[in-house]
Amino acid sequence: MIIPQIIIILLIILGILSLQFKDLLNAVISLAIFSLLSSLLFYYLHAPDVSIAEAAVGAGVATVIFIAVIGKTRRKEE
Amino acid sequence: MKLKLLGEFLIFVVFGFVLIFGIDFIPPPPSGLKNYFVCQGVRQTGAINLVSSIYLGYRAFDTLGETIVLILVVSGIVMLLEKKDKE
Amino acid sequence: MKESEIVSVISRKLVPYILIFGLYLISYGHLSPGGGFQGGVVLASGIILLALARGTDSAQKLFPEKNLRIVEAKAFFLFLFMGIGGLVAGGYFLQNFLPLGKAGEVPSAGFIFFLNLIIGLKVSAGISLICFYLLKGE
Repeated sequence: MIIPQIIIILLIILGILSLQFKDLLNAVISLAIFSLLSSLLFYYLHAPDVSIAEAAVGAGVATVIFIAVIGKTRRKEE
Repeated sequence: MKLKLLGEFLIFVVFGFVLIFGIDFIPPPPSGLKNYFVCQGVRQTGAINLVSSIYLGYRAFDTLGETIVLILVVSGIVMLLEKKDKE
Repeated sequence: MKESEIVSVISRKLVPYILIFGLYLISYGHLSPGGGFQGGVVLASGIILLALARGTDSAQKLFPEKNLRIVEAKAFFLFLFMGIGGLVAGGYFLQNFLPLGKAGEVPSAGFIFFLNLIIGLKVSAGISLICFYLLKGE
């Protein structure tokens, strides 16, 4: 019963970290870990469909697209 | 900088308070449609996975709209990035 | 950038299993968790892994960009024709006009199985096309 609370606290920490990072690559990686943990949370809440979609889109494809876009633009935030 | 962080923290606390204590006052969703899908879904569409039977059986027109959104995104990206290569 | 031996070998051995898993998710979408969109994204992530590890040129030998564009466009019209088929059979738009079959077998649920296949192919072609265009310039 303690597992979803731990996951939610980690999710809050990762969300705040991804807002605070000045280096955008670190923010993207922390968003990828956020997606992976939230897919674990969805699986725990008995929604395997949403879990598969979240793990494939959030941690796989969106990270690749973000990193490609960072490569085409600036890496550091002002 | 400090003031901005304090504002963010205050918004966070207020929204968390509303979400934790306000969720008791929301009335439960109507159960008629849910009971209809659970009882009739497998017999009417033939799919065991209820998510699939709603996504492609009862609400297939919604899926058509989602397909149009994806084809719009792909055509926009092809239009934007192919022009750059030719110049 | 210098090519790493480990990344190259691991990606070559891993990609066929990812593609098989995506096809499994698509074709068993009406029986178990999964479905057209999820399976299509898993297929696309296999193609993207190949493109990242081996370069877009060698990935485009296996999955040419022209074919992906054709699949993306034709699958949408197949979806529309499946919808019009319901009208032809004497019902409403997007009606399930194929025989339902016995629940629990793989080619069952008529219409939903084919719509899953169409959506899976379309989503995988679209997402891998987006990533090819984004990765090509580097």
